[in-house]
Amino acid sequence: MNVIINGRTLAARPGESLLDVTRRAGIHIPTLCHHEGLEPYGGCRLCVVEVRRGAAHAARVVPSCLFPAQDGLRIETDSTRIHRIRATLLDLLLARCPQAVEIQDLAREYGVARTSFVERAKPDKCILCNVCVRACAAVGANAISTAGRGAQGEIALPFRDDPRDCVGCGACALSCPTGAIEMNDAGAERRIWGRSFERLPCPECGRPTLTREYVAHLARHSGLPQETFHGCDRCRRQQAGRQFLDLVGR
Amino acid sequence: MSKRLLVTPARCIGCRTCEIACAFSHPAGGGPGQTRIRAFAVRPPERGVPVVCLQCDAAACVRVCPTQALQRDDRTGAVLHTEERCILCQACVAACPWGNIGYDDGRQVVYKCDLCGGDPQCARYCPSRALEHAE
Repeated sequence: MNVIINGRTLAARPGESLLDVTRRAGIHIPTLCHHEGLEPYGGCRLCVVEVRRGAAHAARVVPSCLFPAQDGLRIETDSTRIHRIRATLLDLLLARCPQAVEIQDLAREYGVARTSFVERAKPDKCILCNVCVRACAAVGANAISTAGRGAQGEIALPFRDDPRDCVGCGACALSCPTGAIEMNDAGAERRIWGRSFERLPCPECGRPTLTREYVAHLARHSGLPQETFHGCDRCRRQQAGRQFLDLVGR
Repeated sequence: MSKRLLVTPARCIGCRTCEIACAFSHPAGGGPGQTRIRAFAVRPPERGVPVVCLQCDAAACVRVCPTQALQRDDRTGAVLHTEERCILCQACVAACPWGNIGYDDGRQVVYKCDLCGGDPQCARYCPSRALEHAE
């Protein structure tokens, strides 16, 4: 199966998205919500491309992360029309989160120095890419989701204030591309989503490791005993060394 | 069968050349990166034991990873970690019974042995053949 991208004929596998095909060929398409480890989301729309089934057909604008490759499809990734759409999206994003460096850089690349819209009253760095929500779902906690619409859209806890499902793994904050989610570790305490967690100390060295809730969560989800997840990697390595020596009788 | 990284603790002299070879083979931020192998002086103190990923057949890290960021490379036999697929939940770090996956707090990355793409540098530089890459 072949697709024609910017005049180049490229091989594509069935079921593969247009974004996958172009990335493999080294053609750059900007993305914000795309994450290789998570299901495609199609939220940021920056990866839009023009597709045309044949010369007689009109070109459609589709998000390349969700659109599957089809034999003979003609794709333009950087036409004037696409450029204009991306510039508008970045103009809007700049109104939403003027402090996000990632947005500032991309906007500049697309010729948007400052937003032509009204800046959000309470600007933050969140670009609503949903990586955190999907990461949380992948972990199996499902503690956060999108809430509200338009300029009021945000990532929030259930009813905006119920952190009961959060296990304090930190995946949302660490995978956020703009650093919009606040997580503070001070000693054994972790604060995130307005909740305080205790990071269990390594039984050997006392170094804080995962939160108590996350260890319980991992044990429940993997079917492995809780002790599997106790202790820090450094001490476990030392123990492994001792066990190896015992095995070879030294 | 493909080659494997063989560890013979009895031959380890605790020089930790493997750690240096590893750190320099995995550069990060313009300098040597985190070493994936450790040569501990356990007992007696002047001798060491190399501890490195065993590339387990039924690996706990692969089992707990929610995003398939850890996958076996059939060519080298290594369990590879793909940063782009990782959501940094660190379940693998907690699940490895041997402590052979680490999390770098400063750079916010998970790291593990990748067998250097099929030519492990720790084995290449080990002066006492405690580490060998052989059939």
